Amino acid sequence: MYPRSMADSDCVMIMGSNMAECHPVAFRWPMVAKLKGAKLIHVDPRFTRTSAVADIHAPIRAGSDIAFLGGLVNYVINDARWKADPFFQTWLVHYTNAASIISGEYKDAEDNHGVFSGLREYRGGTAEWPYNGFVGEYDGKSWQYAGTKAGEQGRAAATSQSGEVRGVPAGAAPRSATPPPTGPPFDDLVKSLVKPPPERDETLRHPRCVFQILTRHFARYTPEMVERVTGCPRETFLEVARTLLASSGSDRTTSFAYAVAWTQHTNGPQIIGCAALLQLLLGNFGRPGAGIMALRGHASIQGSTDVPTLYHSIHGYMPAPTALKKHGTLRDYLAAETLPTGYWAAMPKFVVSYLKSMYGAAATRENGFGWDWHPKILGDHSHLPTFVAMNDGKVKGMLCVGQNPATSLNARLERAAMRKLEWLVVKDNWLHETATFWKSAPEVVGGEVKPADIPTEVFFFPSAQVAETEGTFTNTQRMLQWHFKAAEAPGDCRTDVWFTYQLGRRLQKLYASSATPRDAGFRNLTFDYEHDDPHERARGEPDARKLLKEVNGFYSDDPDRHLATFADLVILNVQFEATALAEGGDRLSVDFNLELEGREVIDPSTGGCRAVDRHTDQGIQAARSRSRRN
Amino acid sequence: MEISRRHFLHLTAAAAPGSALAGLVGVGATLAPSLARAQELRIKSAKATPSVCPYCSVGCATLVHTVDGKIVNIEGDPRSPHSEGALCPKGAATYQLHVNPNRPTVVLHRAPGATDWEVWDLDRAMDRVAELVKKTRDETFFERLPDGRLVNMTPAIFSLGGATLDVEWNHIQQKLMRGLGVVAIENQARI
Repeated sequence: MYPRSMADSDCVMIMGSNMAECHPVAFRWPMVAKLKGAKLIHVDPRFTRTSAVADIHAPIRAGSDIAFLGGLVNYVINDARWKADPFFQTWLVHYTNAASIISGEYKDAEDNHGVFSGLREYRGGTAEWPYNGFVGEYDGKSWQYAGTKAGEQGRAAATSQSGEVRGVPAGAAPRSATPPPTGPPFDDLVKSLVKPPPERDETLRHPRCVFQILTRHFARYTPEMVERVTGCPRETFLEVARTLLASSGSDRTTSFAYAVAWTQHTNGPQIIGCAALLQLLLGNFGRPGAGIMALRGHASIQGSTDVPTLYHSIHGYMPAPTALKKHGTLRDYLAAETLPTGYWAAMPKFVVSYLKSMYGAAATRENGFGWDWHPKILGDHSHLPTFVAMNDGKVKGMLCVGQNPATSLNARLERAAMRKLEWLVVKDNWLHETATFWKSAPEVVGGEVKPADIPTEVFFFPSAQVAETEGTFTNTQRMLQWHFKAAEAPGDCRTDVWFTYQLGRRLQKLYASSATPRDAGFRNLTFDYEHDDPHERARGEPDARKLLKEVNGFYSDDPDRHLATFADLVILNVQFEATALAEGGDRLSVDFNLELEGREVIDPSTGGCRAVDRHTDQGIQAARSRSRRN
Repeated sequence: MEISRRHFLHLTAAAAPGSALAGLVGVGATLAPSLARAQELRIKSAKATPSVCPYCSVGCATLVHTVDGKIVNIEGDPRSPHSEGALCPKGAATYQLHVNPNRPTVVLHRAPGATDWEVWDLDRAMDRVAELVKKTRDETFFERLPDGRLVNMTPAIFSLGGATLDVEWNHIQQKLMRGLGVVAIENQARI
């Protein structure tokens, strides 16, 4: 939600954040709401400046957030006004899945020794990466709606056409003589994944409907239990619950704000999920002053998640191809990961676009758009497992840009791991503890380790600052802001994109004469961002605008033509097909993936790759005018 | 003569033009024209470039004032609908990130086992980093797992980024890393 929208709230509940001090400029909007009569609630173990201006401060034990929120859920669904108010009941039936019926295989924690059904057993990873990413995760198979089985039809369709051979011994021919169709169209695949609509009971009485499961699960969260677990006095908790309910309804909205005091818990996503559940019960979504405000900690932390420098996802939250699942071919991957309805039904287009952003014209139908070149992850390569692996000698080199792990989580372990590195590159504004770990770490200063025994080759590159760089931040509410370059950075200070671009250009030269198949992907990687400005070009700066253009999406046969909005593209497709069918005409093929003689759109972040020839362009225009007429 | 604290402040206020405000307010003088002039002088002939605060995620808009290409002032941009020109104390100090005597401006290299840094030429350092990335990649690359699964990756290079970096950096970094087969790509966003 947009922070300014909090000015329209009738109640703002801040939990897991000291917003007044940590996001002070955004905090003016809850304060504006307060001046208009809204209630401010602060749930936090500490009494901070946020608590000082709140109407209610509810102290809880650190980590007991779910007990508190669970208590609120239980209070709300048993409240007489909530049950009687047609707004809440209509919202529940029509805007949530409360009425949908869940399969009989599902077991709640109460009936399953304290865990929900589907908890994954430990599976040893590969010898190459024995750090498994599935431990502690749930398999959602038993959580499906009644009458539907997760992706079974899809898997059958995928395997019948993919021809993938699993477990081929090294050296054997991996593929059959006639290659199966690897490329698009993927419409048949997506359609085969569509499940029948879930069974529903709009009276919400069926024992396995979502609402009844929820009611049973949260029944234990009584005010007494909340007081026992959280330490928050019963009366304070009840005051919060009453205020929350009184500030929600057809003419009132409540918003939530949270920060790292939720997200840095190991059960952070569950806390946030619980708050989302509560807001859905109260109808506090998609309305002015309603919603959940995630107060991110850093300028573009949202940008690094949307355009991910994160191991587990590729652009726009698509899962990174992995060796642990059936992702052998593009088609396998799509069969395993596509959600066949709604926006994500277009996932094949997103993936093809992403691959085209990587390999350009070398990504073709025939080679599955370069699928084989793209690396597959072997398990959990996240921050901590990678440092553990570094300590085990499995990670040899590290590029550290704008981050200081020597003072981060389990810092002693991380410093010990860095002493095993062959090389470390630090690019930062300041000569921080990670850059000088071989010199100023407590272990070195204390005489436990001698610099002479640390074999790591270390580089430090000074950075340009924000006003010396042009580029985009994606702020907390996914607002994108471009910042311009105001001055030249001093000395050898360079932008972050300069570093990556110059490294890439040098590596391209080093691999230019390689004929090894393993280097084919890198040799086909498109990497031309040369600056149009002669001064910047002389400094070796890449053009941030060209990078932004690639993230945004463009027509590959007309690179100056940007993708206007992605949503427009998808909506047009749906409208066009619907109109064509409604008029009883032939179904015109507007397959986004088809690489006909037409155009395609590349948009790796929010996706989209379509073929549009003149004929279908006109078709879309016609559909547009028809839909306007209707 | 014994001087009280209040007296002292009055005297110094009268003596030093920079802190004359307290004294003038005392005698009822209007400050508006002087303040306006001070404001004008500070950024007179300065060029204003729109930028964004690099600290938290609220994204307060800033104006960077430069004279002859040198940054002289950074302040909140009143045109921003979500920050309306406001900056918190941290954001208001963004100027000191840029103009700071402690700011490092040279490339440093520490050889294996060495006890101190050595200043290196930028190009030499970049060439060496490229060489090391290639060496590690080539030594640790897996085309296939022993059971035949095609993976084309190396788990032995770790790219760790901060979350105050531009979207464009995220794109080019993940592209270069994945292009090389590097899978251990992480960011402050995880933490």
